[in-house]
Amino acid sequence: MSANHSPENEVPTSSPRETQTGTRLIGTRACLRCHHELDGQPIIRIEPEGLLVARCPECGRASPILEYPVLGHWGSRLGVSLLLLYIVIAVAAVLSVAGACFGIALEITESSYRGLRTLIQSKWDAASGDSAFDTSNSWEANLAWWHERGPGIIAEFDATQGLGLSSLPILELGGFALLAALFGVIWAGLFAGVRRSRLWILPIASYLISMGLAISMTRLGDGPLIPIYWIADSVRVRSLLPFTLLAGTVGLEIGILMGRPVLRMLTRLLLPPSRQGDVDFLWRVDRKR
Amino acid sequence: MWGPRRSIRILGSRAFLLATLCLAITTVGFNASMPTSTTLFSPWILGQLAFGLFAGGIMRILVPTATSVSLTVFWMSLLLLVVILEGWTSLLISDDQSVYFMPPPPPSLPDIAHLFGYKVLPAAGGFFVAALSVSTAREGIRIAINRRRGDDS
Repeated sequence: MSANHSPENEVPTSSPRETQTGTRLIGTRACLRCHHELDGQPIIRIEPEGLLVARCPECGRASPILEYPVLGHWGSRLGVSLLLLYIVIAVAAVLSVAGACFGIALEITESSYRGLRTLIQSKWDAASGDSAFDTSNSWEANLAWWHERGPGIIAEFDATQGLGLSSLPILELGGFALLAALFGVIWAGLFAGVRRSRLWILPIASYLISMGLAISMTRLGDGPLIPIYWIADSVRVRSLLPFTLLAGTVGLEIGILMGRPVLRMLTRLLLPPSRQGDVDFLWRVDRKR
Repeated sequence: MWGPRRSIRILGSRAFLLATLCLAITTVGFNASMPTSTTLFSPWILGQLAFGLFAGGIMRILVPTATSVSLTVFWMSLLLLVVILEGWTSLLISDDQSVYFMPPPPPSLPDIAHLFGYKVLPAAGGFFVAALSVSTAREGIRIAINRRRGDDS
């Protein structure tokens, strides 16, 4: 030990001097002592070693900007894997919510269109005597007949039972919007890197995916005969589903836009103050800190 | 900067937040799934109270920094949300099966008041009492430890 202090082994030192590099830290990096986020702090060079550091505005500790890659290649591989996992989860979240909204919207419209199938069936049975159309079975209607008489049948159903927003159960639409708002809050946390001004696009995308799914699933096709339940489903998708899905989309929009304040409130409530810095991306993404 | 200690700490905080939320939702689910009592003195009301006490105790132990009132308000609003969604689901499913049986009528104001008085309030009351008791017990233990150490603060 004492040999290390002999004059010949001593490294010549000079007092450290800090020079500003003129750049600021971009990205997430925590203070080594207090874990305060250093994003935006000026980068300082410590001379004569030439070390680049950022000084913590809270505790004053200098944290190095550059360090040896501790994990070697595995660090970047792990990072890429996590990024891919996040993308898969994000896409799955959008698709699963769109699918769930589609299923719920179909359930809500169930009672509003039930009579339509019976009406189409009775009209088709009455048209069976008409030799102009192929009436080989009773459960399939001729597509040409439907194209000719369909608008009149829809107008008749609309006049007697209603086919549109007014025929939908308001209580069920309200519950759908509430559930969608909860999904929106989860999305607001999941898409924490997306600015609030762009978040509104996601519910619209979900609406378009659900409507596209519904229209493609109930396309009448080009065949001469078409099942009657299919025709009724097709009318339901075009007349009732857009309004029902709109209730869900409004709920999603409210949830996704109000989600970050809700998540911040929950974090303040449930996490100890010393741990709140670990999820401060919830504040930084909206420039609240 | 990537470092195992920091990453584990951040992951730990997020996992704790998620676990606390899951626990709150699970305990709320127990209370919501119990049948609502029709009379003031019944085993179901005691059940709501007991589960409320259990939930309040556990949540308070896990979240010592929040005030008892705000924790109770959070838990009660979760319970209300689950009760509303439960009612909505029954409407939705009955709507689908209305060929076989009559769908239930939409809830009236007395129904909502009954649900609030016989389900939500007993559970939330139990939760608040348990949260206060755990806080008091924790404070008592802290004072006793300080006294033993000879520090009266």
